[in-house]
Amino acid sequence: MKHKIISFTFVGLLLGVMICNIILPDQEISKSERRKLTQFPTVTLSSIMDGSWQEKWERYTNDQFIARDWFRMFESIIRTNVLHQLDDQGVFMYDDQIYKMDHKIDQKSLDHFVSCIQTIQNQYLTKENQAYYAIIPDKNYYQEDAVHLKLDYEQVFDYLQSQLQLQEIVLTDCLSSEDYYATDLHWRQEKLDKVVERLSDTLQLNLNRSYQQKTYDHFFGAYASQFPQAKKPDQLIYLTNDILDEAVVSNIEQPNVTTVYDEAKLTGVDSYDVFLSGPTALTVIENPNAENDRELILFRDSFGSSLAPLLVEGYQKITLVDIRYVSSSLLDQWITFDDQDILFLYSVPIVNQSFTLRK
Amino acid sequence: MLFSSISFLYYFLACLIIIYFVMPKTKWKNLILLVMSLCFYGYGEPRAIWILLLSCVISYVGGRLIEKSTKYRTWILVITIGIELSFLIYYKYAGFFLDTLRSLSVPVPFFSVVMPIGISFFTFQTISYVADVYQKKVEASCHFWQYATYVCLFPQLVAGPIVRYSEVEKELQSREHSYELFANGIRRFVIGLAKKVLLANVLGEFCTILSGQDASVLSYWLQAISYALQIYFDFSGYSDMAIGLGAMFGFHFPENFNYPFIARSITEFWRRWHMTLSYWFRDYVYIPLGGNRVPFWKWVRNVMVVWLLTGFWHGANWNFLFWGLYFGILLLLEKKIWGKYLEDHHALAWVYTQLLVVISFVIFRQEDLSLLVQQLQGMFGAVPLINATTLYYFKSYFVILVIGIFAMTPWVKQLSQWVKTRNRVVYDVLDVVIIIGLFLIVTAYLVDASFNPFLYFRF
Repeated sequence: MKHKIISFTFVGLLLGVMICNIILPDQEISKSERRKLTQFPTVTLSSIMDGSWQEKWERYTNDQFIARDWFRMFESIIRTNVLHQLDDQGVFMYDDQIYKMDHKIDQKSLDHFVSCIQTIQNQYLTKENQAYYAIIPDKNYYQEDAVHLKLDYEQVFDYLQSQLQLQEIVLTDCLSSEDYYATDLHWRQEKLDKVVERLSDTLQLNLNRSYQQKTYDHFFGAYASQFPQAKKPDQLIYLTNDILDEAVVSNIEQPNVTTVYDEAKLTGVDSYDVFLSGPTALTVIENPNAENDRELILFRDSFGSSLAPLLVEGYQKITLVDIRYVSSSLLDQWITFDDQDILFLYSVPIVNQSFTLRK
Repeated sequence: MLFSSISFLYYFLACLIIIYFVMPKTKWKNLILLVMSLCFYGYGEPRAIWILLLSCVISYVGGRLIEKSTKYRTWILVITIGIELSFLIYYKYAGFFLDTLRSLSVPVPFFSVVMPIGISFFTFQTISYVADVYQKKVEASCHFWQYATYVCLFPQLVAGPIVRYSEVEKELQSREHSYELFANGIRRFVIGLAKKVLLANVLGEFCTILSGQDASVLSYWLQAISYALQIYFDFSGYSDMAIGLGAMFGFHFPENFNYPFIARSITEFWRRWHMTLSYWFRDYVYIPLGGNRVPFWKWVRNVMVVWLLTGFWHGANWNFLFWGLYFGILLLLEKKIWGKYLEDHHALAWVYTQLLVVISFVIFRQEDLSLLVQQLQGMFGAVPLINATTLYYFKSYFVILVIGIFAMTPWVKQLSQWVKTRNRVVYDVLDVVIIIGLFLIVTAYLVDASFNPFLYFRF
């Protein structure tokens, strides 16, 4: 009897799953993993002979597997709760916040980062440019448990300070772990009071800082996609006022974008793209209500997208440059450097993995 | 196609089971197995399938001619084995030989060819077949498709065990199927799958993480131990899957592993590790060279030839030759100097064996000789004893290491026997729940698989 039970259950499972996988329609995207899923590969003789069809088929059968999200969560629970692994492939949860472990300083990456900044300095900056840099720590900087590994942040900050001939704006004391999304690596725009205050003090900006809040309740960030046990979404709050409503945005990659907040992105793969329509090479925010003619050029990563709107009030024009998507050697096609404020604003994960930055 | 993949389990195997059991006669079942085995091989090596088929044809014809001929049978044997080996030498070793000549400043052309999966295994099977026919241990097969089914049979095609024709000849002609054999096959297959996916892959992940971190003595030892466990669970898991799949389709394949990590000498270790390969070298190389019934120096030569070939079989690189040489020397020393002492000191003998085996796998793993020296130096104190990173990952993988160490002993089997004798009902319920539960857990790991190598594929 036992042999029959094992035989029929096993074969039933194989056949049942195969039939379900064939019958059920394929999914286009995985919201929980924030990525497109592999579709059935086109069969050609050449793709079979060179093995590329087989590779795609393997990915397809994994991606379109019935109850994939459930199985991913099941695996994650076994890793952390049964095998007591301290992280799930580098990601872990502590006090309802998901963190990523990045504990090894990549000295070559730090050097590359410094070199990228120095190249821009040497190539473009004038004596009239007031230039600063600020480094945003990853949220694990504030994570307090003594178990997980984290970078030697002081070593990173000291190194950058010794190499960059720019005035530093220290932000570490302006933030805490609660100022970041629980499921994402980014900071929360509504929690940037102290950061904005520090910047406005240093840059001598006159900011009123009066905003209305808009909310989106279903934000699953990048870390949620890597940690299948994440169940509770973040509330994404973005701040607006008349000045931001009337500000005009131009984006060289997306000409149709004209507003600071691109609300259509809230329901897309990455809701954080609501801020200035996500990562792009060059974005300009013009403030028709500015009380001065000051300009800011913000060299930035994705953290800059949510910060820049809070500085709009203080400038007539803010130009955001992301040198992950455009080589810095091409910038003079769009920007004339004269007396603008210059701020290099980068997060530690980018600084420590900076080879995406282009000179 | 890996056995430990969604495409194999939930598509290939599911379809094969249905088609196979619908077929009424053994002849038709064999044909289905042959066709599906060729599909299985062709999926992974579409350009190399002709080598497999040609190898079958040559050994089949060779076997028939050896049986019929009286005058030229030795020549036919030599030519057949020569042709079979030439495939192996060309695809597996030519690049290594030319690289070696180039390093000696001999002007030779660059040569690069992709080694067909499983060529080391099916070449050894075809050689064993013609040698057995020559020695009249088996009769030459009269049915090519039946013989081709033996060589191409997918469970053992790419990673063994090295099955001899004599072991499956009768089952190829006629075999019985029962729920008991089928369920036993499933049990064995799922256990192998769990060893591979839940232990070998996770230990491999541990090993890979540690090798990318700051070095410490503890880190080097953990890498060495976890790699030894990884390769054991990887390979023995694959053998279990092969034996289990064989049983599901009515075959009884030979065992390939018998708890090698409980061995108390290197000699015993090799009676428990990759047994079908050891027996193959014993029967087709060592004994034909004269075995141990020869003068001392000839015996030393025989042992060293066997172990250099064993090392070289595992890979075309110097580290594999050193690995074979290392075991050859240890076996000679055990036989002539300290073997008796080991028999009388069990605990010491176990520590001695495991230490040398773990070090052997450091040699096995590292193809770059300078890195090999660096790792061996690191294990014996050329770096800090411990650091925070090693400690963190040691804690993180501690449970899996403990499970791995427990699973490499016969204790699990003994525990299940103990439950079986105490309460048969509990045993039966647990048996079903554990097998199906393990299969679901394995599925969960495979669905999200990012790390699923198979170490023995390269052999």
